[in-house]
Order: sequence, then C-alpha cells, then structure tokens
Amino acid sequence: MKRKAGSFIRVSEKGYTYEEIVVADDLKTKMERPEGIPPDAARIAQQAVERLQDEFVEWARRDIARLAELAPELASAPSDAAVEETRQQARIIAHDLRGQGATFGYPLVTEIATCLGTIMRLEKLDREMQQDMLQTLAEMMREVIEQRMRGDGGASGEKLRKKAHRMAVLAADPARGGPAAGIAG
Amino acid sequence: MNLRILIVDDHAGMRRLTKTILAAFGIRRVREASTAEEALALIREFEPDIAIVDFLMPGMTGLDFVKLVRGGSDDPMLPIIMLTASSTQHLVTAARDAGVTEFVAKPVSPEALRRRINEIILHPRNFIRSATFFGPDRRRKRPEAVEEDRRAATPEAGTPEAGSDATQAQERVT
Repeated sequence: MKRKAGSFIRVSEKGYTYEEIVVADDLKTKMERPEGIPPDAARIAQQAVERLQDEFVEWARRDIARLAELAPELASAPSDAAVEETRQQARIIAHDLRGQGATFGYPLVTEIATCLGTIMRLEKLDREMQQDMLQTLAEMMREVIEQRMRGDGGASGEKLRKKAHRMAVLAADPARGGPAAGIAG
Repeated sequence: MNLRILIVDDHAGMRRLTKTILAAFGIRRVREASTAEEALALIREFEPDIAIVDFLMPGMTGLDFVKLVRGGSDDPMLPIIMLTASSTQHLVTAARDAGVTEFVAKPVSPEALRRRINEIILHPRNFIRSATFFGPDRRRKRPEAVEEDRRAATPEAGTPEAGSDATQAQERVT
C-alpha cells in the first residue's frame, strides 16, 4: 500500500486486535526544509491574502446576489424536496461567506452568514419567515460589503450584528417551529 | 519544493485563497478540484502528498470524500486536512470516524494552515486498521516512541507480529 513503511499487530486494552500501519516519513525530503514551513511564511501569506481583498468583494457580491435570488425561489418552490434543495444552496453560500469574511477583514459578513446558516437549517420554520430572513440577511451583508465595513463596522456594524443575532434567536423560537432559543451564539 | 497539494472546494474564491497561501509557503505544485468526484480522479493522476478539503460542498460532501479515499481510492492513507466553519462535537466526531487527518477552522488563517501542514510533514500519524475503522491514529505518542516505530518498520526489519520484541517496544503508547 502506498505510504506504508511497515505495520504491527496490536491488542487494545479492551482486547480488540488491530493493525497499526507505520506511515513512510518522506514528506520532509519533499519539503526540502527539515523544520517545515517557517513561521515567517505565514506573515508573508497574510500579506498576500490582504492583496486579494478586492477580489473577495467581487466574489461576495456574486454570492450575496445569488442569496437574494434564492429568497423568492424558496417561496415558490413547488415541493418539499425543492424547498430543501433551495435551503441547501443557501446554506452552502452562507458557509462560504462565513469562511471567507473574517479572513479578508470582514468579520461582520462572517457573523451574519453564520446566523443565516443557522436559520437555513431550521426545516420546520415557517417558509415565509425563512424567505424574509434570507432576503434581509442578504441585504445586510450587501450593505457591509458596499459600505466597506471592515472590522467591527463601528456603530452601524453593531446594529447589523445585533439584528442578525435577534433574527437567529427569533427563528429558533419553538413557537415558530424552531428548536430552541439561544442558538445564535 | 516538491510537495504536491490538492485543493478540493466548490468555491473558486476559497480555492484561490488557499492557493495564494500555499504559494506564499513556497508550495507551487498545487492542483484544484471543484467537486469530490473530480478530486478522486486527481488523486490517481496528480498523486498529491496532502489534500485540503472543504467540509460543505454541493453533491458529495467533504466527509463523503474522505470515506471514499479511505475506503477504496488509489491512496487510502493520503493525509487530509478538512476546512470547516463549524466545530460542533458531532461534526468533529463524524470527521474523525471518517478518517480526517487534521482540521482547520474557518475563517482560514495562514498560520493555522501552516501549523497543520507542518504537523503532517514533521509528525506523520500512523494508521489504524480494525474491523470497524481505517484512518489516522489520533492518539499522540512520545517522539522517541514514534522514532522507534519508524526504525522498526524499515523493510529490513520486516513486519513484526504480535508478541515480537519490536511490537512490545511499540506498546509504549502514551
């Protein structure tokens, strides 16, 4: 088997037999640096990432525009399967925005996208409410990007952050089909 | 540097971000796949040393991909770093059961990625095969025990069976 340097048969404390396969230690050679990637490389990488910020704005614009399109699609989806497919698309876009926002200096995008992802996982939530929240959160992220609200976004950013968290808590209210309050975290 | 890395992510932006970080690390032999299916083909063709995989993708998820790699690809012991925006216990357990080697939480920072790649290069994990599991050994051993493993596992030493001196030496798992 590729990468295998040898193996041992062992017996666990609970008496189960298992094989421990020793992995060939050859990546250091390929790396050509016995100490691995030096810490300084992370600083250089961070600078390179910062140079991508303008590109991120373009990616985020496209993703947010797609989210805004999904809101009416969620409302008009003809079957439960179509509704779930639309929710899944929204969850994936929210996941991407959540992952990228803070990396590129927009932690507010990450926070709002996190709330959106939470709301899109609530299968029993009233569909109209879910659509409305999807539309609103997409609009809030658009505002963050267009206003270039980097970092915490100051007072305006705090207002958006609180609103997004309130929406997630509201959506989680069992009276509206949510699992429980306090999931927005 | 000859290290080859495969990036598996449906989002072109995330692939660009990861590739940019890797380039700054001096790693330029990088291939990209936008789906898990495409990635499985690249494992055969490109023979990566490490795969960096997003957890949530349309179609086959990152977890499904890991299971397929471990279960029947051309390189079942490929080190896999999973990028995840969620770190719930349920997810972490599922990912470990599937055979993920390392995790990097989103938002991805260059420093976090550097540490995880170094972990794979400098301290490769052995693999465990049992009736119910095949994946990296996530227990950590003392460095000298790891070194003993490697010396004992050279082709000259053969494959020790249970009860042999070499095997008993390896039982000193901390």
